[in-house]
Amino acid sequence: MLRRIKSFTSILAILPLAAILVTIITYSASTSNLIILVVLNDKFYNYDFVCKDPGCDSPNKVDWPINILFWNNAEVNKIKSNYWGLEPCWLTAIPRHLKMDDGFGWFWDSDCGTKLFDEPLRIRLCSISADEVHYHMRLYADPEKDYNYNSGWGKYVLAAAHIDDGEGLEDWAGFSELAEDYVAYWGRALGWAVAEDWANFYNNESCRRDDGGSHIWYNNGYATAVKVP
Amino acid sequence: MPGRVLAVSLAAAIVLLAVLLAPAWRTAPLTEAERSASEAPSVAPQPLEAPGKSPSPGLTEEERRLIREIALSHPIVRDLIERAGGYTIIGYTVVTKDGAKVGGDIGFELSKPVWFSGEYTSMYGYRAYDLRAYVDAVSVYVNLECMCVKGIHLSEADVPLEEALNMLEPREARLVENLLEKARNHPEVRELYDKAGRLGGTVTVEYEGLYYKPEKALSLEFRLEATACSQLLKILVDHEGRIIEASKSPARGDASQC
Repeated sequence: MLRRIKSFTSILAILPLAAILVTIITYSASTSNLIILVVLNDKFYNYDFVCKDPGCDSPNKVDWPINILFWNNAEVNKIKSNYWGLEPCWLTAIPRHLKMDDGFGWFWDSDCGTKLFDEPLRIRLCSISADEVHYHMRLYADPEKDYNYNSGWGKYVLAAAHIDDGEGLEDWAGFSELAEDYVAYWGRALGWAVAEDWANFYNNESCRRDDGGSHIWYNNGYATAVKVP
Repeated sequence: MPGRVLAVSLAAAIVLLAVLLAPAWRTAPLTEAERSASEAPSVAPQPLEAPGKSPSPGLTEEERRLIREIALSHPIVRDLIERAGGYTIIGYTVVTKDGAKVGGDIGFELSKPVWFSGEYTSMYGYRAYDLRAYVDAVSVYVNLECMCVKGIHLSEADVPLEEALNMLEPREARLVENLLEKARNHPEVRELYDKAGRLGGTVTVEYEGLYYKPEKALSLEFRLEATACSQLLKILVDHEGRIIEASKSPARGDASQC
């Protein structure tokens, strides 16, 4: 049985290091696969973004592919409390943003996500070797309600899951597909129905990194649907 | 006339009811009838415009060969591989700039972890690192425009603290021992030791790395092993002994005891 995670970050005197880490983390990546997806009266982008100012919904301001749909009776905080808790917005989890239309016009939602620290995972993939990772998932929906709604998906929340380097200093992030697999595993352990790689979200990314960046792209383009009871 | 009034009243009542019920209807979960018989949503999203047409560029066999050769000629990589006694190639990652291919990363897994002490340029953000750590893998970014290594990444292997203390210079070993004592005073670390005492378990300390750059920091892991449960606590402490970051994995085993 999976347990509720208690994670914490205690920061005492770290401004120089904070500046360094944030510099790395805020490095934006680029994609040629950014599009708007439509379902019934709703729309959303298939990547989240590093900013939400005018012009941020651009292929050069993307962060991670949207690779999870929580549907049926989903709410952001309900999912976080059943997954890895509410991650405070700080060094290891800074906000990212998704642009959506829940049938009444475009809006942005921002989230720092839910994060599971120091899990063993053997990665020998692309050019990366790791044995310990952090799982990080950001969840997006109308901030006023904490969910979006349409008659096909019920109350739903969109999510972008990825892995953070769990060794030494946190140097790289990526492998969305592996994080998606773990979110699916966790959902099944909760007794929730999971349809892995359920629908094409058109954000397939083979092993790729942007020059100077710490993003390791790796995603098959098909999002997993997790039915929240 | 009364019939007309009745009709108008009825219509107004229906409109009022619809307005009142609308939010409730919109926020209600799907009924069974609305749900698909399967456990996946019945409707999938469609692209509003044509999906991206240009697939990510890959690396040709010739480019992989060049990347491999250039990476293997880098002094740090050559030295690590020589002392490890061999390597296996993990794989390749294409590197792009503004969507165009500019080079590639190659990953080498070393045949055994080897001690590294020195400086290098990280391939992530081109930061300078100064590190003392056991290393079990190295990734190398080779830019195909300059045919040169622009940065590397060393993957730290976790080793028992005593093993690292033997490799560090005496003054560095003293620094690490001093910082370890400071880390042990952190409430979460103390709690882990208390838990170990209560459960009849042990706490072992693993060493990840001592950094002088990009920041002066020491990374340690405290691993609780008991019959009832196990848990991992990672501590990053700066050279003044201040805790920079602490993260705890979920306890594995009997939740009621951990």
